[in-house]
Amino acid sequence: MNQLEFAKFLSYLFCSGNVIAPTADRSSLRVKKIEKLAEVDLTGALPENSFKDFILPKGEILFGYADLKVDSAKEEMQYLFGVNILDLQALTLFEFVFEKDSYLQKRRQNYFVIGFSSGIEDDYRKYQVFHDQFEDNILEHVLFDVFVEKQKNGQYKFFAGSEKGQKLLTEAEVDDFENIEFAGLIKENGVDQKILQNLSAVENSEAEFLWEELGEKCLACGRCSAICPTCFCFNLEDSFDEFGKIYKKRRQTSCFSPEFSQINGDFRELGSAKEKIFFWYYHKFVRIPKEFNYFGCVGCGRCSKVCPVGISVAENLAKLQKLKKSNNEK
Amino acid sequence: MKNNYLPKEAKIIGVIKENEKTNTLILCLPDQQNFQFVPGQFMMIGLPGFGECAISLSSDANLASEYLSLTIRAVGNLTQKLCQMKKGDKVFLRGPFGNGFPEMQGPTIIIGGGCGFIPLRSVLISNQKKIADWRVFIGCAYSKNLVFAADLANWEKRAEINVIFEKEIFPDVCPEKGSVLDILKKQSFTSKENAFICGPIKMYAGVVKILLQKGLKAENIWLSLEKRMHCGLGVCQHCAIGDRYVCKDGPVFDLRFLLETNYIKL
Repeated sequence: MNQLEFAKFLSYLFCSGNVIAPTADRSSLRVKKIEKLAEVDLTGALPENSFKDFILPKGEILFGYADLKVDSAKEEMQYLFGVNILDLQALTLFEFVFEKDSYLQKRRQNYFVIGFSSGIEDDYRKYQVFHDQFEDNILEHVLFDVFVEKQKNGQYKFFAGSEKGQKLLTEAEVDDFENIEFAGLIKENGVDQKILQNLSAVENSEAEFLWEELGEKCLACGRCSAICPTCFCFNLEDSFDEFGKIYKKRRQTSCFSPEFSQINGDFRELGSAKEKIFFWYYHKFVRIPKEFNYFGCVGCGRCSKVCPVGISVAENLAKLQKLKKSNNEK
Repeated sequence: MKNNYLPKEAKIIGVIKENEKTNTLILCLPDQQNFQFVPGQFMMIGLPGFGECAISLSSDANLASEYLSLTIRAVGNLTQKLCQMKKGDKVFLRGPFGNGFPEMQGPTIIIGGGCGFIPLRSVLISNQKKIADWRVFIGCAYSKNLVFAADLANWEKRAEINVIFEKEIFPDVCPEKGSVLDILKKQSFTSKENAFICGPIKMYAGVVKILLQKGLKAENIWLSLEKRMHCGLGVCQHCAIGDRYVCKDGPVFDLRFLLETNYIKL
């Protein structure tokens, strides 16, 4: 498919729903709702934020107490376009984590996940990620509706990852596409070695001095967890509208927030920055991998970019792996 | 798809004042006849505008189709409000959640610290016919903090009940001041005994140490944990411990897991 036909596909998306895509926003690249086709960024570079907030909003009303009814208004059709492979992995994790969540599952019916790769070599350089994820069969192990790959010859190749995606492509008059069947999270040769290496490096590392150092350095500001595409901690809270009606709301939170583990008035189990940062790493590199055999961290490196004190997950994982190795040799 | 966050409105059919700060709410759900639980499980109880919190079931599991009871200590905004509620008032409930205490064969030791006795009351009252060789140990700061005093008097006829207060002496029944550790140290146990424990986390290491020294096996020691919880489904992460969730996999865990995760350090 050539550039003109690709533009036609994009126009179809703009005509039939809201388009959420990476776009140049002043000096940065951000994922947001955009109005014009020309605003879509097609460089394949990693945007500052991920698509997370469009799936799990920062705050959403679950039901009103007055009648215990869930708002049944249909959400507008949304096209999450230009999802890079790392964010696609994060959205895939969300599909499993929220498999039994009626709100996210209902929302899922009303959005399309459209992945995009501007060419693997370029992407890899621009992502500046700390581990290579671009195996040949990667699309078989992520959940998406449509994936568009810009090839080196300037042509665009389309893939459908779901029946919904096939239907969308047919409606948008894209005839030439390949169907990809989801083959599960675990690849043919077993759980990703990187996942297992990180798991074993973090799992029994609590006594390592590194956590003391990180605890000294970390401000527990939570910017890392807010930007992380795989962080999904939430609170269920009551909120009031301007008429005094009371609703149950789900609100994104962070394990770095002071009240995250607070019970009995004022006792906090995760009290220090050291305890919080260990809890955070443990979730990413132990708890999620054990529960889903999947990445709890997709390696996008956004957390390191926003950390005000320069804590790098990649560096710390390397240190923990080295410590694990030297402990094994002892 | 089931909406797991939607609560049911339950009616308070009775209130028992356990002590100055603790009330038991006896509750009836609209579909109470279908309600079942295992002692040790908990409910999420909420009031509009005050949020929700996890509270252990304290009633007889054999009578679950008739009513349930939640014993609540007034410590935060929600629990203070719940303790002011009267017969006929309504609350919102979700649950039951988690896994309760297991069905064990043989003699069982019940150890409760303060309000920690709440889920253990459910264990005892649901197993009344089996408790002849059970021993109960309760520690409290003052007698005014004791919960289920009437039940204790009743159970005394069937099982061995030991109560100790940290700051009070009652010459006939509690001649010494001390913690539950002090009475446990004076007991002898066998490897065939099981222990069900619930209390403040700071009590656990000391209690467990004594039980292990006196011959109990780690796999026969079960402890109930208290954590902040929101979803009750093992998703929101507030109650994560190691690679498990207190709401979904607990709140009752066997000692081996708590030692492995360093949650209890001996």
